[in-house]
Amino acid sequence: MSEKGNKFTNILRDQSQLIILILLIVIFSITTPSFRTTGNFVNLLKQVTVIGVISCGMTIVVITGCLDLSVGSVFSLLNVVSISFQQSNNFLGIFIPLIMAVVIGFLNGFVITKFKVNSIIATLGSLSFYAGAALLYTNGAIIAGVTGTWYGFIGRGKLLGIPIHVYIFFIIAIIYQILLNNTTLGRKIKYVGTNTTAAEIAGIRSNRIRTIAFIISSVSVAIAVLIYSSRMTTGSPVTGAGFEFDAITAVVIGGTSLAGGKGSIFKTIIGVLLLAVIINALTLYNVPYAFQNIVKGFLIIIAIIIDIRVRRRIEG
Amino acid sequence: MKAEKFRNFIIEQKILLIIIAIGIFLWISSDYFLTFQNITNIFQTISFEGMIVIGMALLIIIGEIDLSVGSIMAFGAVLSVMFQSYGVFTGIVAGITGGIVIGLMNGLITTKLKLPSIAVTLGTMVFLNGVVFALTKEHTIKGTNENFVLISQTELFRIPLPVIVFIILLIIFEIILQRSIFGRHIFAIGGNATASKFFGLKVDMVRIICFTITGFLAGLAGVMLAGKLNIASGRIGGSTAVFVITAVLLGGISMEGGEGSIFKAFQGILLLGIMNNAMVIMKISSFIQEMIRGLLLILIVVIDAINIQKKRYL
Repeated sequence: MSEKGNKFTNILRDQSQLIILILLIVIFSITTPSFRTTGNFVNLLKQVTVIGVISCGMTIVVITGCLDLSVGSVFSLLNVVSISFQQSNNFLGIFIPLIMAVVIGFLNGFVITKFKVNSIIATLGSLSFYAGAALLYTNGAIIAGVTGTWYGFIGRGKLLGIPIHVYIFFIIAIIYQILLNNTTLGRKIKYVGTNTTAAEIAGIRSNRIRTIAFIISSVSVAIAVLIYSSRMTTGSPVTGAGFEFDAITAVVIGGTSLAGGKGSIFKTIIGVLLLAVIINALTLYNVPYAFQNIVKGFLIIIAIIIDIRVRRRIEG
Repeated sequence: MKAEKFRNFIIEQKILLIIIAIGIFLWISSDYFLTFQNITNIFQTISFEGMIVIGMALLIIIGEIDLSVGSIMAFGAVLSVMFQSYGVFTGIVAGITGGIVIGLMNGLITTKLKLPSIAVTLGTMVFLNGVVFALTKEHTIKGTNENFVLISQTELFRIPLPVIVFIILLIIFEIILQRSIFGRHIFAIGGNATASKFFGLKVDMVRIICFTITGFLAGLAGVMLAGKLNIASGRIGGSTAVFVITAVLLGGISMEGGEGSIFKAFQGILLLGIMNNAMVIMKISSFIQEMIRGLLLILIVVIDAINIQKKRYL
């Protein structure tokens, strides 16, 4: 095959998710008139910001070779905490969740790296812990925040007809992408994910890098919480249930390898959009909500299989 | 020499000693604890998840894990409720068959595609959860056959049937694990899968059988659980994976694989059951109970990880 043809197939393989996304958008736009409206596209973007920001944080954890299953219940906890503080002071409603997120991320990272525990099992434990904590905090009830303050601006404000939080999502994504690709920390994150032992021999403190990754993940959850709480101005102790799987699905179908070392925020955004477009189309076709989880589960399994196949082909 | 023997005994049987200590404490502090009614109650609560613990113990010993057990249990429960209109027996068979099929699927995907079981079963869990919600249309469904409740409400010598089934399964699988060739293979593969393969063991086959057994037990647990009130819903089994994995590790079976016994796993689930019972007696809120369960899992894996590292440096 010619040099040029080779390059072309490489692009096809590298950006297969992007191509699938474009194809799906084209197909759905042709077949469903209600899909191709501007309103639906803005709606679609509005729906992905919360899970999108969480997925961006999750991507960094996955690149270090770990998984964070606690994001969903941390979301629930921070949601109720944020609203309860917002009742008295908007600033507290913003800063307390962020500070808590740093602590939670540090604890997750500390337990996992210090004792070399499997991250899935450890965060399964913290999932349970924070889910209980969220329920305990409000005693199982849904709480309402104070409406009519500037707090709601983050979630409801608009700039040029596009909601503010859509901008926040893209700004976060750009910051993380720069962090991953153009900084020393980003390079260290990838080295640790590729080969922990080699990275340590090269003088990288892998434990510290992984802990930072977990902190980034929880802080992303806190940012997502701010978007969500300011839009809804309510806090429910079970809002985040299942978010962990949505985020992992988005990361994996975007093409970030679960084995760690490889991946990008850009890919995750493609994954988030891919998932949203599929779910959006299912809704427009009147497929019951319950079937959406079946589709998600299928997508996870297929993405994992493709991921491992590709990796094996590269490795020989 | 004798002191050392005593120390080893304490280290080996520490969970049993903790159970006895908590038991004595509860016996003194509450009149209710050591009644026949309460003990039966504890056993009945743990019997459903206890059946799954048996399968999970086999999987962890062989070096695998199954996160989808909760969804399989819900799937089995829903199938048994849906199919019982064709007879109680059909309902039971449907639930168990569903579990076996999913377990087999987990095993086949894990071994044939050489994927990590923790990732595969994470996918199965989400997928199956969707299936269950689709089947029940997100409602709690109620059975139509009045005789179906007999499978969980029948009592022999005042002991409920699920408890009897649980204890029989414990004994059968302990014998299989300790006395049969199949059991020996499980230990060998868990200890060193590569060496076992060179030795001519059918590694993949044994793994698939272990996944299928776990699916079977989870399906059976689902059927028995559905029989309690003759209802099923997608909300069943949400925290089962956390509970069951905690129980196995608490019993002293290491994530490293290659050692353990069903009796140890039983001690783990018994301790969890007694702790739950104690928390109920002491009127601790269910939210705090969930937090404690999460903390306990983290604590147990940390202790296990420390032990594994210690062994490596020896």
